[in-house]
Amino acid sequence: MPIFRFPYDQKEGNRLERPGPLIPVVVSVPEALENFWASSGRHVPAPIRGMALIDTGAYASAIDTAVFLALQIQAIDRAPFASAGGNATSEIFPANLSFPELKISKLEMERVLGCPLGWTGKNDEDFLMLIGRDILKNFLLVYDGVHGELLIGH
Amino acid sequence: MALEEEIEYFERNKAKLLADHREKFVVILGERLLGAYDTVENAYNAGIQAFGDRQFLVRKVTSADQNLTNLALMHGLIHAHL
Repeated sequence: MPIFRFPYDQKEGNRLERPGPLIPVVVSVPEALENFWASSGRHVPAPIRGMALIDTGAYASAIDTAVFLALQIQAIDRAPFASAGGNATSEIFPANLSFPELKISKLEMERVLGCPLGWTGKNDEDFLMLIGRDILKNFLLVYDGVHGELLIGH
Repeated sequence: MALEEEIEYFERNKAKLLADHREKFVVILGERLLGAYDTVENAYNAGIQAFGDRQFLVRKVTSADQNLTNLALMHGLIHAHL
């Protein structure tokens, strides 16, 4: 099993502790939809790059709803979701994910929560995703707070 | 609201769907049930093949609790600074 290391620069403050274990992610249109659009001559929106926060407290992975809007991906379901303001309903979307620094490309996810996470789309460092246990179940994860390092194996 | 008609159809026919397609993923557009599939990926791909980019429902037929939890989001802690 290959292990990927994510060292966080400790000289500029504790960057692993704050803002947390972030890794780069690329979100794109699901392959089936991309093929459909391509075959009908429709423009396919370019993939969106940003940062994903590893969240072991989340069952389901979540992506900012604005990302789905930008990619023109429609929801395929809704699900009850416990929020700060009480019980709510969140939309469920399909997405094609890549984690370049983990050498993972084209991870097709059909059930990703759409949530407001504060994504602005201004640059590739913008936080746009929470990686939940539905993805983490495939990973070996070591959070080394002492040395400011994250190790991920898959 | 999006998918309202499809979700209403699903809930109205849930007993029959459970009897016929328990633990499968169904694809519904309007009041048309396209089919039931073993995986959510197969269901989504079938929906795209049949309906293109029209909005359709993909949902698992199960009696299990489908509530989602995300503790940090739930408590508004994602952007908290102490």
